[in-house]
Amino acid sequence: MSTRRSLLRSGGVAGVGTLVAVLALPPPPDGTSIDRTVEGTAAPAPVDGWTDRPITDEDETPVARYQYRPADDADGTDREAFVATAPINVVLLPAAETDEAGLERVMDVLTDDGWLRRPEEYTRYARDRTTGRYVRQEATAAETYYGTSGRLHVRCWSFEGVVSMQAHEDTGARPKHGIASYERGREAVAAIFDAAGWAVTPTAIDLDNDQRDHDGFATVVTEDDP
Amino acid sequence: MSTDDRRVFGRRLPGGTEFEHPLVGLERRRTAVVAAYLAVLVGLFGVSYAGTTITIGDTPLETVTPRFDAVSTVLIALATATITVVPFCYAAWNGGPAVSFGLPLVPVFLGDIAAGRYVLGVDAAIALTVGAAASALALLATDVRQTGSLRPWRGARGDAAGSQQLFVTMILAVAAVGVARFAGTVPPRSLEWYLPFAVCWLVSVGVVGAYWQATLRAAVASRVASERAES
Repeated sequence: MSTRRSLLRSGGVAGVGTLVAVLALPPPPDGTSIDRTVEGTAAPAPVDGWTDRPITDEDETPVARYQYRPADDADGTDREAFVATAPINVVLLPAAETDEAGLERVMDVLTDDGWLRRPEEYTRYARDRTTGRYVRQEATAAETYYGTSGRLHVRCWSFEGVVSMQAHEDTGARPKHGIASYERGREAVAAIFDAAGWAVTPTAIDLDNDQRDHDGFATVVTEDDP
Repeated sequence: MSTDDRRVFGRRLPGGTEFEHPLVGLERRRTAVVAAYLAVLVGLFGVSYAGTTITIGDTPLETVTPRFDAVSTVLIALATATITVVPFCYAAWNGGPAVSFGLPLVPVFLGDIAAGRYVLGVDAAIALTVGAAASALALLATDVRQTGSLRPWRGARGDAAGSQQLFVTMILAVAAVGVARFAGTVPPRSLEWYLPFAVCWLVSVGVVGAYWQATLRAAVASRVASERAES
């Protein structure tokens, strides 16, 4: 009889423990599917002059064309000391007065989709044409903190009110992250911002930065004035 | 169980019994090694986090030297290993279902704290899956060492072994609910990244299923025997 009682007690404790642990589990993020059909719109007025020919120099427009990795002893303005690693593939025009506020508008859409800001990541730079300096990533987000098996990951810079985004899908860390796809990164960002009500113009600006599965074009994403 | 050796890396271990519970590990020295490993992981995490959040003037600390990038590289590799491989190694080496389950959750929690979000993303789903499977492996590894049999569920086992079996079953149930919620909510790309780790469930369900089958058989046999004795 005492064995039965002790069994019941163990079962009860196990049941309650399991229930408490299940209740303590965090909720999964309800992310936007990459397969969402995006209704493309015409390129907005601010980028009109940038859509008719390829942009081949970062001094031409506020849009960055690449993100860069610095050499060990890099000076912040020395073009030779920064090596281009990945192409900018999304250009965003948030409805905000300042660069900082614009980046926050962009990040808010991603965090609302379940992304994390400032994940564990490598440090990259982009060139600000107004100062000639290479600027460390200003706002970043990813679907998971480490990307154990893969993740979508973006780095952003805002120069003169225009946000340049490098969006990609990381490979799992084995032991370093590699690039699984730029194309899927750009598509996912377009789907997420379209779902959030921003206007999306797919592959509107030719940044002449094609590499791997990236065709060299950036998608333009515009926030309507609130 | 060897608990006599209280020295690790030339240092005397604390006199308490925190390293001695069977849910934690079989050998005190090995458990202390994994505690030191976790301390290194947390330390690296702290350095990397400080690099992005502490600023000198307006400049983040990590821009001062590219070594912070090297810290991030090592941390990503170490955290990924801790989420995927290290729990299995620990379980096979030192048993301890609770520590085997908790190990992969440590980097995930650190990330949650740093990001200020508590979400069951792909990293967390993988950590739960690997942790549950490592916990089942720890149960098996402990019993294989103590019974000397590769099918330890067949022999007679004490109350402590029964408690471990129940504990691992609880862990499996919690992990299964978490992963089921994750799979039912997230977009297909997240499932794609999770899928390779789904194979771990074969280990979890296989080991714990074998234990419960043996437990049920033993219970039925004992009931039949007692009924025969009464008649």
